[in-house]
Amino acid sequence: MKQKQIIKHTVLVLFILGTLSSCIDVYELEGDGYVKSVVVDALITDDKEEQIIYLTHSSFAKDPNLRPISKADVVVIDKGGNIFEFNELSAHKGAYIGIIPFDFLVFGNAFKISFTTVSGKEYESAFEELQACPPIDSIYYEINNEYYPQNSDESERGVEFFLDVKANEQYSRYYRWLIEETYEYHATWPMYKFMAAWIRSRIAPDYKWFTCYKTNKIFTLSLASTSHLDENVYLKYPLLFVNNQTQRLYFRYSVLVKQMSISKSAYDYWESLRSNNQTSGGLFDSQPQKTRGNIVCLSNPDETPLGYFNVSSIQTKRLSINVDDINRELIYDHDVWCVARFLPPESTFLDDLSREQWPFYLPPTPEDGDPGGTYVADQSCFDCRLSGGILEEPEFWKNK
Amino acid sequence: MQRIILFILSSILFGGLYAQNIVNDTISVHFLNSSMSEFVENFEHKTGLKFIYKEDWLKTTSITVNVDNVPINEVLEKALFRTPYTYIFVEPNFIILVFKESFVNKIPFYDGIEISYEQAEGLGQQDKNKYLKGRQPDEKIVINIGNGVKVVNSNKVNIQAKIIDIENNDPLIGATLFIEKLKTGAATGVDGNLTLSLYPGIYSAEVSSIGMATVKCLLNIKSSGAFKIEMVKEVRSIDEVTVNAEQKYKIRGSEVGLDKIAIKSVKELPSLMGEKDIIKISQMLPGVVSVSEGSSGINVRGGSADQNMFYIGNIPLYNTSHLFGFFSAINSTVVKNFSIYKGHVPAKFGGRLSSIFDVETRTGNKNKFFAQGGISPISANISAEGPIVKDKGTYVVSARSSYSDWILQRLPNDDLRNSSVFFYDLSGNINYEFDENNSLSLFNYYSSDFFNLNKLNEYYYSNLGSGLNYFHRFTSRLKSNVSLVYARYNFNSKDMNNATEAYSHNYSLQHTEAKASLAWLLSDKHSLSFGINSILYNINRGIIEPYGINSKRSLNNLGKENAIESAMFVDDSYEITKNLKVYGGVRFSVFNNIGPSDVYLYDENLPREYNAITDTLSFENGKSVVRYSNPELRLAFDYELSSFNSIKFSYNEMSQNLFLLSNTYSVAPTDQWKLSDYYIEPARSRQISGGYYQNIISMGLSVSSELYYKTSGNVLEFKDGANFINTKDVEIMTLQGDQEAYGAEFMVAKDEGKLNGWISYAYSRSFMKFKGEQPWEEINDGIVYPSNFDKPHVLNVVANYKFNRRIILSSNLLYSTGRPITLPQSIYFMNGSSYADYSDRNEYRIPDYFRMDLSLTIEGNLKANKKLHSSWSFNVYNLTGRKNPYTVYFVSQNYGLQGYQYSVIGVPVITVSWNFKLGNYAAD
Repeated sequence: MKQKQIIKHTVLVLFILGTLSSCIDVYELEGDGYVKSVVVDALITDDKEEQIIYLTHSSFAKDPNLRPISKADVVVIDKGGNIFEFNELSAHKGAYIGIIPFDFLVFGNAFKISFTTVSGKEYESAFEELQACPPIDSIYYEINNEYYPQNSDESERGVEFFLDVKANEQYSRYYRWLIEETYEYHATWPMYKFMAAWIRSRIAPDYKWFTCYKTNKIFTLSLASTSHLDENVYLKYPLLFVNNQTQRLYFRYSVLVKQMSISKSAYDYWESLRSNNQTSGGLFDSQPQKTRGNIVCLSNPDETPLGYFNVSSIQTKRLSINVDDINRELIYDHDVWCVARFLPPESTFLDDLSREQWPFYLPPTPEDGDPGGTYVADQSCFDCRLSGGILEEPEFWKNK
Repeated sequence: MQRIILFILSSILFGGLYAQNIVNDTISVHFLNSSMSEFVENFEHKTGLKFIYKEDWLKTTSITVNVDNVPINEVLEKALFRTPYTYIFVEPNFIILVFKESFVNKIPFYDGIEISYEQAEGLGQQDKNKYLKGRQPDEKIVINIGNGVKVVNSNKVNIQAKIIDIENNDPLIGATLFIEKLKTGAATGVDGNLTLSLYPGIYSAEVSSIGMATVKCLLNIKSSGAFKIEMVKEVRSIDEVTVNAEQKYKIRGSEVGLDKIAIKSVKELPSLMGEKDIIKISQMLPGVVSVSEGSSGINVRGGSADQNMFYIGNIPLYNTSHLFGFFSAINSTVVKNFSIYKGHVPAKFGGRLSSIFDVETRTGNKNKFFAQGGISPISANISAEGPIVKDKGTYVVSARSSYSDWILQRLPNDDLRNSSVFFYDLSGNINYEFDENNSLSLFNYYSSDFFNLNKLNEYYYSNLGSGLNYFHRFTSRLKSNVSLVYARYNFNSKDMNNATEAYSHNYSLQHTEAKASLAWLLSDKHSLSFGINSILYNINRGIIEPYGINSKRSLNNLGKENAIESAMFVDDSYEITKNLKVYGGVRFSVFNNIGPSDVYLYDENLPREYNAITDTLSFENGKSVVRYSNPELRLAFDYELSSFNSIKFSYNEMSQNLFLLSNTYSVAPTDQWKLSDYYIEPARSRQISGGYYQNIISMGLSVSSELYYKTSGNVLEFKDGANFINTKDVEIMTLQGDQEAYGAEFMVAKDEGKLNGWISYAYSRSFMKFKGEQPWEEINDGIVYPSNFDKPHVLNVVANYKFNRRIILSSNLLYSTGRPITLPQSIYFMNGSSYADYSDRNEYRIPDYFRMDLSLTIEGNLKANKKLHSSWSFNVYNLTGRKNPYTVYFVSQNYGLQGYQYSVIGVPVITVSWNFKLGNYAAD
């Protein structure tokens, strides 16, 4: 958002200058200043008793990868001194699971994490209080144009989602939202023609892998404060923009928002991360800063652990939209994702398929194509699961 | 080729004629109807004598002489007998040929008027023509100074010269009078006056000034006296004159780190979009950099952007940029010349740590109406000037306005179509001269910017200023200046990105100033000036107000502040010996922050936050909240090793009570000026600098090198994540710390000839340190870090090539080390998303900057009699199309972090602009 803003400023100035001369190139980072730090990724919530905490090491900036910290002793301690043990998941290194019973997940209680690594280093967080979270007032959308920052002539159309909070003074004035999207998408063709072991077969069109559902986390950091507003009310917070370049809006699109009520220090932490990671570095931006969370290393006070031990109650709300709800103009009336490609007769492509690739589905011959020729297409055009979705219709899909 | 110049007259008038010895030697010559040139060549060869004459004369002359063993003088007499010429012998071996008649006829012509000291004081217009009537190129005027009584003794006497522009009677500043024989001279001050002390006698003198034709004259000094020299604009060789003036100035002035530029000498330089911009030109000088291309604000010798004072006329300018800094708010058509004080600063200036930009504005033409203007792709400008009352009053008005909004309306992009951009500036200058001793001038300035981005962000800002200046001369040795200045800077910004948080903010700063100064010339070696000034600041930091019906924004009144800053200063300059000049200055200022004001007291063991407030001090209206006094010492030494080289040293202290609240890399249009207050103490700096200056006359080069070391304390900086819109109390979000800067600056300038320009190189460093007793009082953990504008190597080349009077090719070449930047040093993951852990502040650098620009200026025809002269200018900005990174930034992507570098102007930008003026090429 802000990044686009700043670049637009400059783009605008350049338009006035009668030229579009600016350009953006990839900048290769040199990774010589690497410092290995402990990272705590933890969110204790009141919506279920089971909690997961991730412990990792930071990685080279040039070659980012997840470096789990295994075999640490991890506990969460509450204000009353109750200790909740966390144990590493065998299937998922660096992930520690623990149970905090609902009896302790009450407003006003506070928690901290304490852990010791294999090398004997002790770490601890400050206490974070579980604060009540007001319900989300509403989620709604508008059809909008969004411009590409680099090329102002081209815009993409789509749907922008917004959120309203209307809370009273008993709640914290700092909010953070986690957003998840779910959408339905379709393969391009049903399965009806395929190659299997040198035999070209035909069956009745089979739609069993035709419709899929996919759920994604939205990684954009969404947070807001009402501390500078007259009331604890925030209207029309822009959650996300969904463009029409994918199938997301073509059938049904659903957005799930988890609202968290956070402390000022948590807000400052996430805001600092947001401004470091989601700005343009433009001249009207502020300097990136070292962001320090609420974790300290007891064994070595000079060491600066990264991450934040978050505690928050959660309110959720879901909004689903059907294609009929939105302007049909947004939708392309032809398929743009799958193309049937002509396979030259001398090609050994189909012969070279391995056994695992059988059966290899074939698209219909295009209308203006060669009726005797062979056409091929990406297999995800027949099997929607190959694009990452699942066949099972989500619960909330059923009452359209 | 003209070989006969000064010698004739000096010889004729002032003797040295008959001290003959070589000419008594005997010689044998045999010529029969030889041409004069043959005769001269042969004669020179035989005798070693050198003939000086005008070649044209000798074309038709023939010589017949046939003698053996006859003294040379007799030979010459014989040879020249039948010609219209005679000769004069000048030691050691010159034979000057002159017309025989000239002895009789020409002498009265050159005779100047004789005036007494008293008469000279009241020298008026009516006498002017006597000096100048019939003045022709290559002829010397003779100026008699003092009364005609025979000189009684050989004590030195004072002579005072006022050097003015003949066209508008403007005093010429920085004009020099140089006496070759004594290798001495003087430069004029702000009022165009210079003073010299000489023994009575006759001196050949040369008067030069930037852009003016050099005047050669003979000073016949009998006693103390004053005289006036009028100069005309140089048409044919502006640059040559520039050199002379500059060179002598460089040697003469006792000021380290002073750069003085006449707008004429830089008018052909390439510029972005054809907009001449003195602030961009200043960045071609050593020691002046900016954070990045297109950023507003400059950094002088390692100082922050708010440490520079810009005066246009007498008016301080609190925002110098148009269009976010792409252009400057100083319209170059109103600029006559500008000076940048970055090392030694005279005590009359103060209030900023790093530099004083003093822009001198044009005064109107005294004799006739004149207008000029131009069109560039961005803006159009026009200025007009002329007399109000003949020979007494003049005016200049100028206006510039952007007109590019229509382009936006035609773009296919809705965001841009909904945007609008507009800027303009106006200025007017009125001068009235009651008589020689009393004059009044009024300068007014206004500039304004409006910027609306897709109806989401709106910025408006303006500078308004007015300065009234009264000059009075008591005697030729005592002069005074009294000024009243008012300046206002205000901005309004609206942020409508989100309806709930939408706000508008109005800010205003008013500067009301009175100052008076006296300049007193005690002797020719000793001058003293002193004065007082007092500034009243009224700042309304404004109210953050909800904007639009849906905004829930709370009102946040950032408050008002008032202060009075008064200063006394003394500048004393003394020439201890012929070669050593010492300058000493003291400035003492008192800053008084005045209520009403509420000051919070904080628990000293906690970070300054609202929850640490322990008490509130309330100051009533008019009560002093806090008072700071700042004594500042300014010292300079100038030692002339010879007339071609000198060394200079200076020690300079400055203080500053006004800070720009900026948490961004570059100065933004929403940055607020803030006064020193109960918590924010004045910033102070000390600089030691020294330089060596050398003129290489034979090559027309002036070479200078300067070294400096500067420390500053109490420099204001934002804490990480500070937000000056939500937090009213500045002490909560800022820290004061130290700045350290040092560097070596080198410059070679060639102002003469077809190829002229300069090369400058600076090695300089600039560091910041914010170390406190508590961790929250530190930035970057209290460790020293390079400032945002720390660019160790900066190389600038400016070259002009004049093919002929109509075609000039100019080129800029800029190289600098990339600015420091904070980069990710490692990546970590939370909730599936990647985040960067940043390095220490400014630990890395963006890639180096390099740019080359070209411009070609083609003047219209050079006919002397025409009504309108026009010129075309073709500009190529960034000729090589290098993608200089404006910024490097990182965007969190699905897996890892992607870095991007963004270049503002990554291709060559070609523009054409057109300028016109009334009259011919030379008009101005």
